[in-house]
Amino acid sequence: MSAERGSGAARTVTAAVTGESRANEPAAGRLWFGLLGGPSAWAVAFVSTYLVAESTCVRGGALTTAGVIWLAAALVGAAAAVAAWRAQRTVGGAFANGPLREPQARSDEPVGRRFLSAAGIVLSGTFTVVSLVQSLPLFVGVGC
Amino acid sequence: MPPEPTGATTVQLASVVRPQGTGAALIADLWWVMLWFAVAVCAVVITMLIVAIARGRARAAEDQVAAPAGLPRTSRASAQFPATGQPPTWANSLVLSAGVGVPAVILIGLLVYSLSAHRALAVTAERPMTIEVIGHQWWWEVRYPDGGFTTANEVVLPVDTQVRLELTSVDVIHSLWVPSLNGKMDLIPGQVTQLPLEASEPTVFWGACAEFCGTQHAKMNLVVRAMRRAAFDAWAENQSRPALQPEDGAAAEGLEVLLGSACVYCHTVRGTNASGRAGPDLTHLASRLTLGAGALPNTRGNLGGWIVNSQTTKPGNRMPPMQLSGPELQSLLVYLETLE
Amino acid sequence: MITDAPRLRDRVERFEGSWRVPRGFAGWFATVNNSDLGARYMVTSLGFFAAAGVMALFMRLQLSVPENTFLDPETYNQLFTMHGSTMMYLFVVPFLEGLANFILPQMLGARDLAYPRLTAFGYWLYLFGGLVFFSSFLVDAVPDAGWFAYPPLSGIDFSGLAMDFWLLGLGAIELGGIATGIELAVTVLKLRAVGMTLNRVPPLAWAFLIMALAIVVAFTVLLVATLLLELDRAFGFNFFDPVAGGNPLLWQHLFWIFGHPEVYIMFIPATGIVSMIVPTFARRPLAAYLYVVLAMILTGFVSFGLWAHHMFTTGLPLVAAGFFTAASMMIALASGTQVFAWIATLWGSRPRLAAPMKFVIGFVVIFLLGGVTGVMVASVPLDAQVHDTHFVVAHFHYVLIGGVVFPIMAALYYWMPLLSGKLLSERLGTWNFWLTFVGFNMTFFPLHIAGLLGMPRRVYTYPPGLGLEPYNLISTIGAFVLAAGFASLLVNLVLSVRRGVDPPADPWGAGTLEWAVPLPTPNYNFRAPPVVRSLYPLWGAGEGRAEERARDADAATADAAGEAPDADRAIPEGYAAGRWPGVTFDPRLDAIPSTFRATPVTSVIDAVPQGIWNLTGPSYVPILTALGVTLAALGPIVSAYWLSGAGAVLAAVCMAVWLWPTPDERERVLARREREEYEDPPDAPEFSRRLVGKDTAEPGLWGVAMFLGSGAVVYGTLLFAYFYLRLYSGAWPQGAVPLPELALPAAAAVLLLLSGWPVVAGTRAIRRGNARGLKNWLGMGLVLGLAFLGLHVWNVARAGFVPSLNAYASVFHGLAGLVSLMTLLALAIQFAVWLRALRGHFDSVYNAAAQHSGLVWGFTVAANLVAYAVLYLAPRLAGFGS
Repeated sequence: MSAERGSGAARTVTAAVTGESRANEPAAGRLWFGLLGGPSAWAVAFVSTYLVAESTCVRGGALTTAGVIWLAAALVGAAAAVAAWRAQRTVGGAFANGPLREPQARSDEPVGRRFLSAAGIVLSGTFTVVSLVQSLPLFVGVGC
Repeated sequence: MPPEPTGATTVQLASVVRPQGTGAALIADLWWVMLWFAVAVCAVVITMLIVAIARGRARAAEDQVAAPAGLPRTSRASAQFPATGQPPTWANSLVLSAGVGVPAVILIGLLVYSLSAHRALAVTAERPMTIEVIGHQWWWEVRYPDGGFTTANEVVLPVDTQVRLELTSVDVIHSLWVPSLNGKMDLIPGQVTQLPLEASEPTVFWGACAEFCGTQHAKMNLVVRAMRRAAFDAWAENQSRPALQPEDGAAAEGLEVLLGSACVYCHTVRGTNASGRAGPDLTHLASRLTLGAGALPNTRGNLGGWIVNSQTTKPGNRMPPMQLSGPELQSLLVYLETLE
Repeated sequence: MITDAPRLRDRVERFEGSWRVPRGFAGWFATVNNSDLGARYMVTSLGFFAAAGVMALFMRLQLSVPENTFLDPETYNQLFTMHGSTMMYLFVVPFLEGLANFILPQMLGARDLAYPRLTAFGYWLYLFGGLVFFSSFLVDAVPDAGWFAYPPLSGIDFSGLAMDFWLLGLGAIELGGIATGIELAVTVLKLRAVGMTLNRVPPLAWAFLIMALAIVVAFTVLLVATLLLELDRAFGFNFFDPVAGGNPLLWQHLFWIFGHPEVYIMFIPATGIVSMIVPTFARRPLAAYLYVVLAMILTGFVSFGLWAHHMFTTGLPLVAAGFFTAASMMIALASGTQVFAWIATLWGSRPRLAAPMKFVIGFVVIFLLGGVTGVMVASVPLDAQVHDTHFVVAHFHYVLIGGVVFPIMAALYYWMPLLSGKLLSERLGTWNFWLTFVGFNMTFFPLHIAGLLGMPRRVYTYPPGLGLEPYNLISTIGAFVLAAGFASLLVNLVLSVRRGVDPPADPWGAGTLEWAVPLPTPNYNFRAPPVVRSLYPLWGAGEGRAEERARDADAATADAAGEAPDADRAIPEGYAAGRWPGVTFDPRLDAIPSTFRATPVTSVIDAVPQGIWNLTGPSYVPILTALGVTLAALGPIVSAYWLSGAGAVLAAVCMAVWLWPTPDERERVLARREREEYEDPPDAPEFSRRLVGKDTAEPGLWGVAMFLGSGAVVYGTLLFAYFYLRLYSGAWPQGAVPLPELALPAAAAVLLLLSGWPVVAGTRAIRRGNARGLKNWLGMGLVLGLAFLGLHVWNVARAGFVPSLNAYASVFHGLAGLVSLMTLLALAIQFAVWLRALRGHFDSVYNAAAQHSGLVWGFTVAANLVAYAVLYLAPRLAGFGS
């Protein structure tokens, strides 16, 4: 059949378009949450803890709220990393079986999705740790 | 201003790394720790980079001997690329350990160190002596609320005592910085900020405005004079007194010149009718080390030149040239020199 | 099939005709082509670079000896203000935007950027803004309040006309920057080659994506901040005036929320450039690609958490400053990741040390030094000492010249064959490298020491006797060596264009797609859209483990063997310089579509084809729109508000023309849908059919979404200002202003909420093909929207206080004014869509404009409701603030 006589890549893409390799792909929403959940939670926490700290120091009060916000950001980051990890199990990526390596593959696999899920595990995981490190000034007891 | 010898007192060279006060000492320790880490990190990374390239160049040279055709060029190049295959299998481990792991440990350590130093820099004394510094374009108004007097462009403080500067500004944002004693702090209109200062040696320290504040930002300097307690008390006692009333001729004429000129619109001399607020208080002008906020050493010649036309020394400053005859100027200088 | 040659020749002729740039003087102003405009961007920015460099030499001469009188203080202050502002706003970011404009489509396999007219608009606005900015020299009102323009010094009491040049000239540039940012981001997301999945996006394209998104956020904040300051100056608002309840630190917050990301907006693409050059010269793929990409994303995010890092000496609460120290240190990890990825790439390779590689090595060394001093200034206590001293001058020149200008020079040497069709001279390149490297270190290393010895920044002179003399003298000599280095770059550029070596295709043997474009670069970059299956399509599919590479190689061989005749034709003339196993050009798509400009659109993650996106041809509308905006900005400078009005009208009319579809565009789309087989051979695979027969409006939707994202940042910035002012205000509302009443605002909010429904219903109706429904619903939405706007304006008018009263009044009227403006804009768009609906423009498929307008209105409703809650409810809430 001449329609399939394009290059290998063309065949691949045809397969992707017709949905052949989409059976076990995770929803894009979960992948994007996995990638951006951690950093976004950090960003929101950053601006709000800054304002809370300023407000507390100007008006008085305890800094516990800031600590709670950082903890919440770390939890969201962890949830995003877990979501990315579960997405990766669905696409059969690098982390599920074998050592850490870049998810690269043949062109007929959902490589973009696999990449995104691996990226989400690392990035959201990192931001979980970053959010915890951000709360250090509260524990070192710098105060106002 | 040139930190020339002024009387018996020498102005210390300003240096972040040769601290003369508690705050600056703490920061200098932090500086040396960070510097050595920085040197180590640079040394390791640059060595690795050089080794990677040098070894590669050596291999490339061997290749040339083996295959005299030279480096692959043009269309042949793409056929031969990638000639050396893949990055090492341990590339990811290297990136994660050397690029993330080790720096993370170092940085978190430095972060905790920095935060604790930060806390230690806060005002700690129970009831510290307070000095108010008010920024003006381009000079410093210095008030001693305890002594009830105001001076300008120099902060005098007792040694080994924590002093709290309360800083604000009447026009734009300035920043007070005395490198040998502590970090800097901004003077912000509408707000009051604090800066603790504690000197360990009875010397004179050089300070500057560090926030760009307009035309003469560069010549908005100050000196901090640290004195032993007794000397400080005597100084404060003297400062709190109004200006002496001159009795003999020249000085008395000088006072008349002062009161009859435009000087009084901007300057105050306590004990006389001169009560302007726009410029520095001159009550004890002669006791100060510098003129024009550190622009010149306070000598008679400099003072005369400053009065006649300060715009040559500090162009753009707010003091207009004074139209005074020679004798008028001379008697004014005689009077001003009595304001010890 | 397109096997019959004459038919193909006809088609190619038509294709090239529709991509032709009009000739001559007129064509120069009408072109919207990405390579023309990208090159113009870069040349213009290099001109500004030279101007700012000369200013720096004057400054260094003045500082060579203490108490020098070569320059007077006013001139010096003007020079450092112009030097900093020019370098930051007029050189680095525009150069990188120009490079992105030029290289991105080629690198991604697209025929042009997503919105060609927007490319031109961005460039003209940049040029006009820059000219306005520099015209301050003509009237001797040169800005002199620093590139950071802190009020009160930049306020009306201390700065005259000069600051208006600064604020309004830069305002125009920022607007152009936001437009370009939106366009670049959408291009990377939507216009990638088929098969260029997210893990095959070249690092530089990732970098440009992150840069573009950061620009959209950061430049929007700055644009709002400059507008607020101009309101203070021209109309007596009090955002930053402490006497009337404002706060000068608010400006510092807003400025640095822009200013710190700005550093990374420049630095991220610079690292992207390095991540392209290192693999080429190491002749192997980039190591740890995943981590390099993630490091850039992390940098992009964390760069927004560093702003107060510039405000450590303003008396921030200790714990708040601690948050910023922590974030500042975390960002160093991202740099560490990238540096070690480059080292790992080079390790065990046989690197060629051609000029681009020399600059890359210089970059790593210099940037490393700037990076470690960056960690130092992130520490609050240490920063309290070195902040605003020459130590910081040294630090950021290490970061910006080492970290950004060196990669820019590397990029010029590397991509010059694509830019001008010529190679730069290697010999001059070696001179260029050593002069800049030595000159740079000579100029800036001593300044670290000068800073530690107590030399503040921005001083036109310094006293003798502090030990500063030797360092300043060495630095001045170094500055001239550095200047000689940059001059040799200029000479090299000029000489190479005039009589340089014609390079072969892909002269460096690089692996990425831009090198598959024939030289000289055709307007359309690719005649047939490429299909890629590797991060390095020109090197082959080998991007994974050894066994995978072997499999890929087998597949490529099989393809080549089995389909040789087809495959040969697959590479159109001029693209056949090599046999690239990782990229294919489908012959069925060669020069298609031929009668109008279009480029393929693919999905974001897996780069699956979705359809084609119509691109607009040459047009005078962009330059006229930019002219209108510039005239509007000039009004306050020359105190002629009629000029602002005229400019605004011109810009508005041009925008209307811009957004109104040309008749042939609409007919073309409708006609093609009727004849689905348009140029579409019956044997084409499904994906080809998608690329030929199906229009997609997805890039348009993404663009609208990003525009609204920028709008959300505008609202967010004003809300930040509101709460920040409230935080430092004793009573809220300030002064004698009473609490706002609730009844009428509540009614307005209800009207606003109601107005959302007809718009949703109208969009639904047209998707079902109900054109009449759309007309009626939109009409109803317009009535409700107008009613809201009327009530809102009435509410504000009877509030009983003017903005100049105090800071509360200013921020109240500022936010209320934003509500009015956004509503007006959304209503205008909706009105235009309604007019088109009346003319029967839409049906169940061709209705993108209606959907976009619905999206804009939905955003307006949501954002205005939030603004209303803050305006009318927040003053009543105790707790936060008062």
